[in-house]
Amino acid sequence: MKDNAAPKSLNLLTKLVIVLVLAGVFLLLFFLFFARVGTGVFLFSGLIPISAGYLFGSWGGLFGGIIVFPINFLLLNAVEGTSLSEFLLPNIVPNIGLILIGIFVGKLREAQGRLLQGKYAGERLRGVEQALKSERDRIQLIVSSMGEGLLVVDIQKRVTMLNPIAEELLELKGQVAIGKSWSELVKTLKGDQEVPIGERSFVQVVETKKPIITNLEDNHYYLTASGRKFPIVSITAPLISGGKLIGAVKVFRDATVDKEAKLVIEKEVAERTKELAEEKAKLLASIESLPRGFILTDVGGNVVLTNKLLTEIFGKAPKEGWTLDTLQGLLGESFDLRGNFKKVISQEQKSVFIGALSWGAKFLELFVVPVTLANGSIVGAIILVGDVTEAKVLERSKDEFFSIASHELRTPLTAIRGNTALIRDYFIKKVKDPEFVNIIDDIHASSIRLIDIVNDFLNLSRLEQGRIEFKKEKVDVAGTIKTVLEELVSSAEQKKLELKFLEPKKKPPLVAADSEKVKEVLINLIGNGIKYTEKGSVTINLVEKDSQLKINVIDTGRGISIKNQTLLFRKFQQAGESLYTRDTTKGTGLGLYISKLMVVGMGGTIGLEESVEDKGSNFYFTLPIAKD
Amino acid sequence: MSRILIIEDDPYVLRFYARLFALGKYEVDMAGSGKEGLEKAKESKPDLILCDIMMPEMDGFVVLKELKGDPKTKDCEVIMLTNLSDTESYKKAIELGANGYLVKVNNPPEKLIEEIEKHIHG
Repeated sequence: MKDNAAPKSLNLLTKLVIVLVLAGVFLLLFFLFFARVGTGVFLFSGLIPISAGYLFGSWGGLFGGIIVFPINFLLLNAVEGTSLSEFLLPNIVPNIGLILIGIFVGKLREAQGRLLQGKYAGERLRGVEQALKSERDRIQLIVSSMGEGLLVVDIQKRVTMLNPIAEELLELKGQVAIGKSWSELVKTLKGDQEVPIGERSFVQVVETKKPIITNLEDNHYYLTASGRKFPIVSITAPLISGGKLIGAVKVFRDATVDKEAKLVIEKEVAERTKELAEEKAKLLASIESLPRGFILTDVGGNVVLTNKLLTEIFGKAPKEGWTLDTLQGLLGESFDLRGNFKKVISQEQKSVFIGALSWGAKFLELFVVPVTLANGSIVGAIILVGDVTEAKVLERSKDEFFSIASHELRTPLTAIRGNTALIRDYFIKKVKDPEFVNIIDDIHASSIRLIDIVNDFLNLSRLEQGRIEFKKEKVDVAGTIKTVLEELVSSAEQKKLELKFLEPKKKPPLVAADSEKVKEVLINLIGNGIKYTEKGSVTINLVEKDSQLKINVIDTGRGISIKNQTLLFRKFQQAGESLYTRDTTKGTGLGLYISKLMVVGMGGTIGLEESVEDKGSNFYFTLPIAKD
Repeated sequence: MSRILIIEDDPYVLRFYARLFALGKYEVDMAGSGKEGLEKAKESKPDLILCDIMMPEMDGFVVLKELKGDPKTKDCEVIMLTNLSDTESYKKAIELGANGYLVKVNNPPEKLIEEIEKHIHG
C-alpha cells in the first residue's frame, strides 16, 4: 500500500505516533529503573501494536496486539517471576484493548494513505486535464488561423467541425452546419457536371480508408447553397484512432487564383511554343536555302541535321545514326574528315577550307567550322559541302581557252611583227615617202604591243593554274635592279625622267627567289613608274626588314586617289573610276596582278606603301632573304 | 652558205622566215607540213632545221622523234621554233633530242639570226 508519490513533509499522524513511541520508550526505561516494572512493561507493550498498526495497517495492528500477549508474559516471568496463571487473567482485557488500539492505528494509517493517493491522483488528473486543454487551445488556434478551409466529418459524413475559412468559403455558420450531412450542405461539381454522392471524396475516403488529393487538373468546384461556384483543390484524409476509422478531415482551398494563373501560364507557353516553332521554321528554311550541302554534328561526330542539297550531292539521304565515319566513307580517302573535325573542335584551328577536293568525277568544296555558344563552349561542328564541279570545269576550260587562244594569236602576230621588222631593216631604203616609214613603224609598234598583251594573258593563265615553275635561286636583287634600269633607261630618257637607284653602301643579302620573275616584277613596277610620271624621277631603294628584303619604287607621277587604291593588284583593273576610263596605251592592267601572283608565289609580299594625287606613288615588294 | 630547212604549217609565218633567211644570205628550204619536212630533210641534209610544234596531222614532236631516230638525219641540228612557251613543251622537246628551243614571239628577226648563227657555227 505504499505509493510512489510520497508526501514531502511528515503529516500530523506520523508526528503523533513518533511522539508516542518515544514517550513509551522513555516511560519504560523510567519504570524499569525507577518504578514498578509491571506498569513499564504494560506501557512498553502498547508500543508494539501501535507501531505495527502504523507500519503495516490494520492487520499489522491486529497481529501486533496478539503478539504482545506472550511477549509481556515472558518479560514479567523473567523479571518478576510471574507464572502463567497469575499473568493470564488480569492481562486479557488490557491485551484486547491493545489489539483494538493496534487495529485502530492501522486503520487510521490506511485512511491517511488513501487520502494522500486520492490527492495525488487528483493532482495528476488535473495536470492531464490542463495539458489537454492547452493542446486543444493550440489546435484551435492553428485550425482557426489556417489559410485553408478545414472541416471534419464523422463516419456518417456529418460535419463535426468547421474552421473560420471553411465557414467563409462555404457560406455556412459553424453552429448551423455542425451535425448536418456534408453532401446536403455543399455540392461538388466536376466542370459543369455534379459529382454523384458515391464518388465524392468523403465517401471514398471512408470506404477505402486512404487519403484522396484533388488537383487543379481534376477540375472540381464547390457549389454553395447560395449558388456560388468556385474551383477547389483539396486533401481529404481518414481519421483513424486505435485502428478504427472515426471520420475524415478535409483541407481545401479556393483555387480561383491558381486556375487563372495556370491559364496565363498555359497561354504564355502556347505563345512561346509558337514563337519557337516560327524560329525553328525560319532556321530550317535558311538551312535549306543555303547554296551548300549542310551537315550539323555534335561534339561526338553524330550527324544531327542535314539539308536537301546534301542529299543531292551525295546521292544518299542521311539516316538515323549517321556519324563522321559514315561521311568519311562517302568522301573517300582524300580528305581526313575526322582529323580536321578534331582540329576544329579542339580549337587548334578556327576552320578548315578545301577549295576543290577531287571526288570521283566531281569536285567538292569543303568547309568545316565549330559551333560555339555565347559562353565560349563548343557544342558541335558544321560541315558545308559544295559541288563546284561546274565551276572547276569552267575554270579549266577557261584556262585551256587562254592557252589555245594565246597560241593562236601568236601565230599571225609573228608574221606581222616579223615582216614589219624586215621592211624596216631591209626595205626602208626603197621607200621615198617618210610617211610610209611612219606607217610601218606604227604597224610594228602595235604588233609588239599586241604580243605583249597576249603574253600577259598567257602568263596570267598559267600563274593562276599554278603551271608556272618558281625556281629556287639565290638572287642578287641589286644587280637585277641595275640590269632592269639599263633596259628601261631609254624610255625614261624619252620622257626626260630621272632613273635613280639608291644602292646601299653595305652589300645587301641575297634573296631566295626565281631570278627571271624578280626581273619581271621590277620591269613591271619601274615600268609603271615611268609610264605614269610626266616629270621628275623614279627612285628605287633597298632595305632589310625582318627576314625579308624590301624594295621600294617611288615615282613623282600623278598618284592614285584613295578610292582607286582599292582597285590595285586586281585583275584587269587600272586604277580608274569607270570601266570606260581605261588608258589602253598603258597595257592590259594585268601587270600588278601578275606581279602579285609572282611575288606571293616566291614567299614575299607586295603593296602600295602610299600614294598622293599629283605628288606620286610608292610601291614596294619584299622577298625572303636566302638562308645559307 | 648554210642551208636552213623551215617546217611550218602557217603560210604567212613560213613565208616570213623564208624571206628573213634569204635576206640573211642563207639557203632556204620550205616545208608546209611535218611529212614534207621529213622528206626534204632526208633529201637535202640541211645545216639547220627549224621545226614548228603545233601542226596538223603530224606535230613537231613526232617529226623530231623521226629525225633523231633516222640515221640519215639524226646528226642534223634541230631547233624547235614555236609559240608554245610553257615548260612542259620545252622539257619534252629537250627529252626528244632537240638541239634548241626558241619561242617565235620572243625572238624578233635580229635575235633569231643571232641564235641561228650560234647553232650553225657554235
